[in-house]
Amino acid sequence: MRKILLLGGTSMIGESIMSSLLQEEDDLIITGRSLSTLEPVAADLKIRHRCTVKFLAYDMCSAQECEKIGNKIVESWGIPDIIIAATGALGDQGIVRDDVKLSYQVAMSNYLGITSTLTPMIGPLEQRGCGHIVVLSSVAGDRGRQSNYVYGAAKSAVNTYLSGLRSRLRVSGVKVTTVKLGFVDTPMIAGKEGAFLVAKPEWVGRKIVALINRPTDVVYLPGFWWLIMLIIKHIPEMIFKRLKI
Amino acid sequence: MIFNRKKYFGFSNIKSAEVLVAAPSSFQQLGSLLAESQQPFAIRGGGLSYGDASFSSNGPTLDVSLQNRFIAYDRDVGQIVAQPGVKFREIFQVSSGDGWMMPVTPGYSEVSIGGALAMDIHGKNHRNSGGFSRCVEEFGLMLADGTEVVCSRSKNTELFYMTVGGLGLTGVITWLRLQLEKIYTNTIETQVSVVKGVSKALTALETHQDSQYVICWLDMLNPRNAESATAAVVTSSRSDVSGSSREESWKLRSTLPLGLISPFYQRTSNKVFNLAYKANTLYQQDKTILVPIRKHLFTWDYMSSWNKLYGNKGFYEYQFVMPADKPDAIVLMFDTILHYRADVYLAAMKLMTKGEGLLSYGLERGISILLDLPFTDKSTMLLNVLHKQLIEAGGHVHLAKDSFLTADKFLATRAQDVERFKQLRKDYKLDATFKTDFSERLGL
Repeated sequence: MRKILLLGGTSMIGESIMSSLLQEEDDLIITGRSLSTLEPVAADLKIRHRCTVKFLAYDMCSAQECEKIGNKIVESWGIPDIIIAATGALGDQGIVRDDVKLSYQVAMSNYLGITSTLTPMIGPLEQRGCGHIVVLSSVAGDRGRQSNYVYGAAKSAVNTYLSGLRSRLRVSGVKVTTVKLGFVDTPMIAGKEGAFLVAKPEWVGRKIVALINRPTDVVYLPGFWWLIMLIIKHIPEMIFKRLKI
Repeated sequence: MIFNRKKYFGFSNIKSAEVLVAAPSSFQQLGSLLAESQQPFAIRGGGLSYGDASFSSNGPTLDVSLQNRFIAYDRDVGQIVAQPGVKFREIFQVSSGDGWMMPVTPGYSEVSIGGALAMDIHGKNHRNSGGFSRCVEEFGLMLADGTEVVCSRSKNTELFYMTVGGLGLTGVITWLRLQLEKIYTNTIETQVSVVKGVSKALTALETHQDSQYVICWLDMLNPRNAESATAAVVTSSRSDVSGSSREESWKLRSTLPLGLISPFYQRTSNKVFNLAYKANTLYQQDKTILVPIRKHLFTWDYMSSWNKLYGNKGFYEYQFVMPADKPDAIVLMFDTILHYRADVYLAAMKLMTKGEGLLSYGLERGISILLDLPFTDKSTMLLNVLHKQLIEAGGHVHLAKDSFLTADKFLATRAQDVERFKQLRKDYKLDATFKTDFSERLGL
């Protein structure tokens, strides 16, 4: 029996991870924005995998609520063995970049909301000395592009946070994995122009489960994004600022 | 809602269209879209129907395949409530461990249950178990104004019987309550008998009508006439001997790129294949073979891209039902095929009974015949001739597989049902909202 916490339980990638991860008797908590969308997901997972599924709804954009939920999980449920953060909002860059409230929401759901929820759990995890934190990040965090820098900045922040956290938790034996996703065929990119080399969510789900079984530090999914981002990262700023990407 | 432009193909690759698609995140969202909008929509599920029933080039297509959640499962009585995007494979995975199985299953496990109801699909056991609708207790149906009603054999019966086999033209199926059947084993006992000639095959089929599953394979490439054609009658029933309970992995399914060998998928190679198949059935004759239940039911899982064998042009799958009491008419049809030296690479027969829905496939004491031919002028010519014989004998075509019919050809087979279906669609104000390329082609 494993205790699994999935932040962003109604996300498509979250669900596809669950479909290959869950085993009978696992104990799962999923979180999301509203009870009405979480409930059918929980019922479905319960039937498919014969595990216990609880669900919690909270507003990720409020740091207090994140902390409260984090504490509540540790106190009333216990320390999770596997934590998967599959939350994140891309937003429409054209609108987000000029709207303070929306860019705040993007920053919260991709970075601060996740870390605020995790913070109360990290101490206990470190003390216990085992566990695995997997955060779904994005290749967008590798360099700020004009087409999605609000989102990219939040992803970049979470990557930096995880890199430090990984180093802190190394001694205790708690694993931290950063998954840098390329384009995945989910509602997040539906109708967006310029998406290429799009991966299937089921495939991504299976790959992430493989990472849970064999923990790795930083992974690009699909792997070829490593090369693409390597090139993008090394373009001198002089030239990069002139690129319309 | 965000709309994308995509190109969709029917499973048999003949019909295709550039389509405007959106995937509603929930049925509520879909409902409000229907309520607000005046334009026609096509509802798409798994998109595995052979022709053009799952898309529309005249209005947006709404893809509901992501509505694929289980809602409830009672393992004591074997009842499942699920959204229409759930696939047969998923139901099998959830319920077979508890000894429950769908009584009616298609040959490919990726078919969604919503589409199965809309096409009232059948398995190898139609004569005994009927179409898919027989295991559907009730379902939710969203009408053109976005409201939802519950349909069963006692509630909203008119809508129930027109939605069964209603090609997705009677509203959006939002959930289904399914009654499963108890199984005590995970193996099937299979026997093959080889006979010569179509009439003998028909007699053999009828004598085995009490077996759970019966199917007859026919060689339509090597013989000279119908009475010298080799037929292999395969009968099978659930075994009392339980095989190993080890679950077979679902990942085993073949991903062979069969499209690559399509240039070699020709008359000659199929002739050789048929001879080899015949030799194999002769070898297996009078032996009882134990087969895992999954392998027996979902035959096509093991070569899931077989539709690509016919290449880019695609193929006809002309499946039709004939009254069993007209064996001469059936023999005549097979004689016609052989006379034209048509490229019927696959031919098979099954026993049928009447379907429940208004447009369901099936006849009381019927024989279902399936012919696969590459899409060529010669094939179209043959089908035109066969279709005339079909009309004369009082048979009709399986719509899930069709890419051949036109409005008058369809009307000639079952005028009464078609007129009634059209009238009901008008009465319930569904005709302006639900349209597909298929409904336009059939004049529904």
